[in-house]
Amino acid sequence: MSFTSVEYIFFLLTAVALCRCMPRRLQPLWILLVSCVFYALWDPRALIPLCGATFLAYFAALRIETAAEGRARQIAAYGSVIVLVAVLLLLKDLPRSSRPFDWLTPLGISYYTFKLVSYVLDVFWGKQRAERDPIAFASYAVFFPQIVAGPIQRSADYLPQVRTPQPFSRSLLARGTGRIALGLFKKLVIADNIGLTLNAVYGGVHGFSGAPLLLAFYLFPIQLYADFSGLTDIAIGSALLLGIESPENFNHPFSATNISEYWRRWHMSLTNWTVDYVLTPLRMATRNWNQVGLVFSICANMMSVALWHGITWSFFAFGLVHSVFVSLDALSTKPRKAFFKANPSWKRWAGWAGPVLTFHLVAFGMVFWRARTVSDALWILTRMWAPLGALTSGIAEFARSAGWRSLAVGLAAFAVLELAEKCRPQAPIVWSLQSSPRWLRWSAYGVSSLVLLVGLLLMFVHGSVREPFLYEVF
Amino acid sequence: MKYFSDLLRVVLCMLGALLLVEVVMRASGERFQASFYISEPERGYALRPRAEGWNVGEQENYVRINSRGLRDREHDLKRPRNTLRIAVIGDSETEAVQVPLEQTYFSVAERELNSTLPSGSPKVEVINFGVGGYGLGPQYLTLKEQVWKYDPQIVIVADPIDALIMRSSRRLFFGDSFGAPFFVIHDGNLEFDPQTAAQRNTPTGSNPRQAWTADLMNQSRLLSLVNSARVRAGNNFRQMTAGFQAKAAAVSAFPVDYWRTYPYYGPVNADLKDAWAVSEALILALRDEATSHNAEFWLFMLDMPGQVDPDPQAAANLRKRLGVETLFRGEQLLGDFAAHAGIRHMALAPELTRYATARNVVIHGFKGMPRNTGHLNENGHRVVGQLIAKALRESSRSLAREPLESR
Repeated sequence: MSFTSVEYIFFLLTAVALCRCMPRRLQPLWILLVSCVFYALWDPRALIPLCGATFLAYFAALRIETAAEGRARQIAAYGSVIVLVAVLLLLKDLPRSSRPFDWLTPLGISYYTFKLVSYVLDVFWGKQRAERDPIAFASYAVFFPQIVAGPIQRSADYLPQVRTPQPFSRSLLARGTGRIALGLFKKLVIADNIGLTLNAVYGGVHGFSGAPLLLAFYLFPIQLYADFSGLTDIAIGSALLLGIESPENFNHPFSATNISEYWRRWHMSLTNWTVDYVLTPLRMATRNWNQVGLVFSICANMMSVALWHGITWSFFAFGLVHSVFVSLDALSTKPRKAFFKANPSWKRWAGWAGPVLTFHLVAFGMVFWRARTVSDALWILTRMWAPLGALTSGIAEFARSAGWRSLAVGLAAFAVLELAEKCRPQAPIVWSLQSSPRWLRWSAYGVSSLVLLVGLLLMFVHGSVREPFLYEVF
Repeated sequence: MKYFSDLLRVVLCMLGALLLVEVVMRASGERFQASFYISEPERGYALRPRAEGWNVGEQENYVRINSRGLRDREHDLKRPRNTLRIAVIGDSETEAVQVPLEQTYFSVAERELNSTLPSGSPKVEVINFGVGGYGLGPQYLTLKEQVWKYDPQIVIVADPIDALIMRSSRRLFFGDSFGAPFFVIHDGNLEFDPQTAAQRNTPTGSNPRQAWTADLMNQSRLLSLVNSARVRAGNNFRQMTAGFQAKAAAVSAFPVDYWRTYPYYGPVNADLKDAWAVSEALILALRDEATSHNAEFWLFMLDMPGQVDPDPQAAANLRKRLGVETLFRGEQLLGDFAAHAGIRHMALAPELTRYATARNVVIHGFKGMPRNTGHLNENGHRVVGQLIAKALRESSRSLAREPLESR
């Protein structure tokens, strides 16, 4: 059941309505049940590894907490983490032909594995206590808004919330539905329209050179951002309606002034996870190696982020490229600071040039992310150069053949979204409305309902031609 | 008073929002399937006069239905002097809403004939009476009730073999017939089947409000969206009931994909024998109706996508799957029948296969669709139009008659 289907909207509304009618103590059980139903609708067989992983993490954490001696705790912690990661590798990351159960594609296995690994390690490191309530814990692993593509929420953040979810209020409803509507807009209007042009190029890159490839180079980061952040918005909005606050995943990534900042703004829940469970432990272990240790830790961290998407040469190249970028950024931090301190007039220019340069570095890396093979990626990067004169005519010609209208709609919608973000009032609109005249309040509710209805009708009518989320497969 | 003033403001805001949504949808190029049909007492449904809008299935194309309910340009009822009129009757392949009017096979045939006939020949005018989903039953009623007011000298029935046979039987008809009539043979005579007879006893004709609403919907993106959602919901419901129909069909030993496979076999079981018998009777009725108006009657058997795959291996695979030696068995049988009944006829599928294979082009389907599926594309229409024009040029008595007598 896709997040952009009308079926999902009805599923969510039913789940929320019944959840809110229940006594609070039954709500975790209800969340667990609807999450299992949501998951089983994808493929009931995929519940087997999910249940197995959940049981393993639950009992491993209890064992860690109750074991008297350090060795037993270590075995429980490291043993369960190794099993969880091995299952992830076997069922998802290996090429399909090498997998032992190639008929099984467990939805969101990366996300629930990362959640469970962080939980086990947090208990092992004494950051939190093991959860006694199996229902609350199982609902953490299988929580349906987050199971498709995150955000990866920590157990310490989720478990207290599921025991006492936020009470239902008009403000919560407005925030949740608004977030879902924003996600649908990003996905259906921006990402899918831009995606039509990109599919035309990436479907056969060797048939293109010059302007179309350059267009694809610049457009894909925008498509991926709209697609993935849209998916996250729907997840966060859905969780909010159930009374659970989720962590944010994006924070204006294209305004980052350097590549390290970009990674602190992009897929934040994953990068925070890898920082906590890969980068920091490695950095601590290699702190005596000085700069070499820093570069080694960064490379290991970026490669784990990249290969988490799948063990392919394209993602390997993606990881390698970002390892180099982030390492260079980390190594040059001190000299850059010293330079700007000595030349303050340059700092203003750097504020402008930084995001532009960072966007280009990101776009460069994303070519490897999107291309089917490294050869395709290299073709794009070497053949996209075109003389300025031929560029505009080339883009116009390509846009005409691939359908300029969808591209224009996607880009215009992206511009509107960015503008709206810039001009957004500080106070939530709902609060401002409460003190507005009656006719304005009613009009606002009426117009919002109309827009939602039109959106639902569009989703229903275009249901059969919908593009899947790019991050759904991970 | 304050309440009503507030209410008025809210209504104005909502109207403004509706207008804005309409503008945004137009600017963003959102298009939805327009409605081109209207209920009609004789044939269940027909093309709605002056309907216009976008066809978005298979290929986006702006379609205009003329003022007399034909998917064609305007034609005077009175035949101009020194003009030979050809009436083309058929189903969705002839209606051809997927391609622009000038690219349809009947337009191609008209241009071909006018450009290749010797000087001094009459001007040829082809009039299209095709309506999507029509079987031979509604086509026969079209000939009887609609065609003669245009005074054509040649009548063409052009359908693929699946439409010619499967749509003659209510039992074999796949999906919703939307009240279209069916015939049966009773005591050797062609009669309406009991359901059609019952429908005709309680006719539900079109009403102006229905046409007005449909026209309004076609002109507004927002209303088209609502209509598309309504139609989709209806289709979903019908699919559910079609599922039940399929189960019922399975009980009577129909293969699951009988709609696609039966047309290749000929009358091999009782259901197909009934359908073939009704089809043959309807073809004879069409011939007699044309002859009684001194018009020349032609039967053109169009093709099905599986028959004209440019890849010989794909055709061989289909033959193997069906367990048949030829994919043209239906055309051969119907051709023999037509020859025996003195009907001028032509099976286009073998010729179209040769064309597609020699040039390695698919003549069915459009961008974004599975290969070689759906209706005739621009290539298909062009070559079908050329083949029909060639056959008429070489064998039509009316075209050979010179100078044309004004009747």
